[in-house]
Amino acid sequence: MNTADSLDRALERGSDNATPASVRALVNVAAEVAEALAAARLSRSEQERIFARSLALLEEAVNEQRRGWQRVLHLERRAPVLVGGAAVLTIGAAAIGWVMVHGRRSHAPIAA
Amino acid sequence: MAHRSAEELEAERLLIEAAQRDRAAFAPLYERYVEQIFAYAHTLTRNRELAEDVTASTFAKAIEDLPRFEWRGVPYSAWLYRVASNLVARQARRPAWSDLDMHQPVDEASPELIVEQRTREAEVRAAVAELPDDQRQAVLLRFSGGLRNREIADIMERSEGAVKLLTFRAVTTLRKQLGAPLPAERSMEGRQ
Repeated sequence: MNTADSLDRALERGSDNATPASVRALVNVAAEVAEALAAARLSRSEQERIFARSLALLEEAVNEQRRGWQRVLHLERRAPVLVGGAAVLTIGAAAIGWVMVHGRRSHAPIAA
Repeated sequence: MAHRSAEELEAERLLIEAAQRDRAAFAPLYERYVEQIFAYAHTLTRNRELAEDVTASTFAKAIEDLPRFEWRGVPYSAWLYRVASNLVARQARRPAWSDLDMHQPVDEASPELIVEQRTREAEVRAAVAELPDDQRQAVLLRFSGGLRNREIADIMERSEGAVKLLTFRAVTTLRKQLGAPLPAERSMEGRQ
């Protein structure tokens, strides 16, 4: 077993008499590092401030998504307007055509 | 930090499920991990403000993705560390970072002892901060995050063997840099 494996084993299971002194020294360093890193604390107000910022970021993301959907929906709304406009024009043209044809027919007997 | 037991993991799974049903129940998860993620981000970025940004963004992502989170039997922190790691990597492409000054908890020990202890802790953290990126990541995830080699390998996208080696190199470097005797050894010597 090489030294890296010995250290890993000692970190997992703890040192014992069979652990070489050099590895035990490294385990002590590791313990001190863990302790120093654990000492990094946030006060209650700092934790609350960070959480409030998380919620603000989340809200911002939700709003951005909403704006994205709104943009998509506005584009979709234009399509029915165009179709509706075309339909109105077609119906209008058809009505004028019908009136013209119907009008000629109804006037014809009088002229005769 | 010791690895999580099966019971602790099960308790965590229940916490996550509760938070998935009701977002208000996310608070215990936040409180459990906020300091770990902050310490991780701070050691990586060496800048308190950036570390707060990364921590806030990590938890915003956590809340957003909570409904889709799938429990896989590994600590929730593994997922949080991965998000934070990606955010730090993204921040790293921006202008340089500067300070490294952690807030310390108020202690009831003598002022001299507190000063000595804080100075030593600051030295240790500064030494960790000076490690090469991959070694620093491995050390933080193992000793601050309490993750297993497999979980660290997954976050760092390296093999377990590589993680083991990175940890070994990092601890060896720290041993040289921090000098001896260390407090733990001093106390052992005192007993002999």
